[in-house]
Amino acid sequence: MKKGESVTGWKQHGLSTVFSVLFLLALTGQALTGAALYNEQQVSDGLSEVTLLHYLTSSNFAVDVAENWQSEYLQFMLYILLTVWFVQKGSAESKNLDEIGGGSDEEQEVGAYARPDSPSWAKARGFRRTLYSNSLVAAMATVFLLSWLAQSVAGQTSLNEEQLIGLEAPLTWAQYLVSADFWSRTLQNWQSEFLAVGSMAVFSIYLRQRGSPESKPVGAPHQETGTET
Amino acid sequence: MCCEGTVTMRVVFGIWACFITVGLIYVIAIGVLHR
Repeated sequence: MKKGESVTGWKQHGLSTVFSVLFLLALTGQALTGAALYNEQQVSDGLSEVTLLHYLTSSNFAVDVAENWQSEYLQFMLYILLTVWFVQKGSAESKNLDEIGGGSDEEQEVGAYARPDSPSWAKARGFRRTLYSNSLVAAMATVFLLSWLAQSVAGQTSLNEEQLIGLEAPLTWAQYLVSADFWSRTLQNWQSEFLAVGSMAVFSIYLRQRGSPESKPVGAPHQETGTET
Repeated sequence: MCCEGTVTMRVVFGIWACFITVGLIYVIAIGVLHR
């Protein structure tokens, strides 16, 4: 029996299953509580309450979803990208101190060094290999930029609805991009992501979680970095 | 390249790609349609 084949069925996909369920539950919770909050505001503004469907298709719901999505994808995009060139002595999240950079073709098992079972685009040359070599960051960056775009468009509409209720002039998209509302929504998410990711990198120097691939083995010395053995 | 790996691995990858794609189209469409 090959290594890893003792686990069968859905347990082979446990992480994605658990996160799918958590995502759908949290999104449902956000929809229900968001609608309740929206209706409280409607009542206090002297307006009529809206249905759940109306709320789910409102710019208010869209901007709340998009602003959180963009910050999460920015976080992972930066983490994947920055850990190529920056290391952290003793951190489980860092590469070995002498492995800074993209690595040689031999280390990366591409081109002539690809294994028989390597992905076909890792065996290819030129554009396809370059694209595939950066495909994870490219995907994260695409979702980040599109979510941020969605946040800006939905945020503009959401703010303009409030502006109209307050009998104030609506903002154009260009005006919204430099508005306090757009950058407040953006930066309040970014600061928390950077803090959480930075603390995970630093805490894993001295702290451990037995069994987690995000941690060094419990008995690993504090000065041991990443996967160093 | 996404055609490699087991069928279940492809299904899992596809489900997550759909989550993101549908979600992005939804929030962008709402923003654009309300303009």
